[in-house]
Amino acid sequence: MKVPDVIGPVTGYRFWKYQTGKLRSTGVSYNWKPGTNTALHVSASHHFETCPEYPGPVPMRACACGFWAYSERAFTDVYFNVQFQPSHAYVMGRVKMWGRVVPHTHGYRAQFVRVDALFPSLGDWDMTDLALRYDVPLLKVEQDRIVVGFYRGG
Amino acid sequence: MTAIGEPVSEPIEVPEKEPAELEPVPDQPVDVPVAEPVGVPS
Repeated sequence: MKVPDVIGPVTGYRFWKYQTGKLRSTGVSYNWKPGTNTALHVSASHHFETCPEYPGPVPMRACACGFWAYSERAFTDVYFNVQFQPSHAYVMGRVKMWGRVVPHTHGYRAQFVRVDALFPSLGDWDMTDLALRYDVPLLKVEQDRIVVGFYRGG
Repeated sequence: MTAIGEPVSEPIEVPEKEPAELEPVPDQPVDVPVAEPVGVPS
């Protein structure tokens, strides 16, 4: 039995592409599932070479595989504003991460992850169906504080 | 440098549930050995 290094799942923040009613990773071709998502080493595709750590445990310090998230919500905003034009095609949210986790200076890479909440911060569009699909609350953000959960899935 | 910065350690093991979410461990009967009476020299 492995002894855990921390006492509970790690909280992270990230954004996704919104595509055909699903959350899709921004860096790789992956549609997020409701509930637990399990990381694999990246395999060869037209975007990537097969991870040199394949088929070892995921993630490894030396590779870039695993589910990514920022450790603070503010990092999500900063990176998003640098990389993307805000639009209705992106969704920000909170995740819980566990299993093998590699800590980074601004976030984490994890073996297992689940969507924990969504933030309807990029427009006024109705995200209720998306929250229902992933069975998570929509949390309203005001002045950088998460203040109101106005939909609870389930 | 990546969006989440540089790795700062080797992978750590993180449990899925908080301790409060874990199933309570039922009380198990414990066999307590009874000490043999010790003779006291008279």
